[in-house]
Amino acid sequence: MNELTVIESRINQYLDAVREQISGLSPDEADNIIDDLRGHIDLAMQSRGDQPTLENVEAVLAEMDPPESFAPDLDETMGVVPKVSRIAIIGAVLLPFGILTTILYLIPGISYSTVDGFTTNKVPSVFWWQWLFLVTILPLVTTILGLVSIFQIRASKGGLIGKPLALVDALFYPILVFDGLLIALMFMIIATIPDGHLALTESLALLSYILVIIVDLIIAAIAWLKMP
Amino acid sequence: MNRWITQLRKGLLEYLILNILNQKETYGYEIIQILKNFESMDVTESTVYPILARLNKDGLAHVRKFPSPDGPPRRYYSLTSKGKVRVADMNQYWDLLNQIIQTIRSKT
Repeated sequence: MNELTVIESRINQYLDAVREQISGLSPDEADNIIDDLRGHIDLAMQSRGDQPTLENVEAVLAEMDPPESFAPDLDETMGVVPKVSRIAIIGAVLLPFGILTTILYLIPGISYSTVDGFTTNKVPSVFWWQWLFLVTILPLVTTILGLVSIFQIRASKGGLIGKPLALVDALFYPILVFDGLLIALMFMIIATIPDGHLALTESLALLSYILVIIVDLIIAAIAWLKMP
Repeated sequence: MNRWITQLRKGLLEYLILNILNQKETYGYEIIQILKNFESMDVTESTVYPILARLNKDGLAHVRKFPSPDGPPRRYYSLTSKGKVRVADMNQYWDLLNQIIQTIRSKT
């Protein structure tokens, strides 16, 4: 490796460290700072009148601020106080209502009852349909609000926060549906196992739950990493 | 006392940079050299470059790149028309503040 490559590598190391500190800024702002710093290093080298050697680069970098000092102090330096996305908050408020209405809808004896072997609606039919509407619409609205808030947070370039909240809103119900389908699939497979293989059946059931948890974690991790 | 000075400096720095750009088109390194002449401003790269990037983002300053034989292109900053209006407003407000300070200090 020749000296020029080593020098470039050292400069890039410094610039990468700075970029890491300013990762909260918009890409354009970060690029501007990095380009200015690159120009600054070159001019500082020239002003020393020295040949570009690693020692000179080290001397210039030593005179400059350490990468940590570029970390933006949003409250003070930038004058911007990030706010939590309101849409994400609304989604988070709706989320438990969606769970509650679904649970109440599904629990026997609340929305319907079984009398003499016949299942009947316990509540008036008009209300029952409204309830079903809520069970359907609340998860849908929560998911849409989550997706909207994710785009809003991304577009705000640091002005809005609430990424975990937005992700929970957007992913909770889709993951729940996905889990349900996965477990149903596993139980369809289990149903094909002939009687008398209790240990195998139990193991497969346990495996399906573990599989669901792992898949959920992978989906959540991918979604988290994809968010800037 | 130190915190108070730091806060005041941060606010002033943007104002000073806008005024430098109002006088001429220039690059970040030169802005730092100009401001380093005033020791009490305690100017460094980590304070000036983020401000320049923000001024550009807010449409107050514009960057022009000129090729350089010695390395990457030079990045010259100049004020946009919006930036010129802003600096005129700021100068007017600064004069007003200065007047208030002088009045209060002369009475006490």
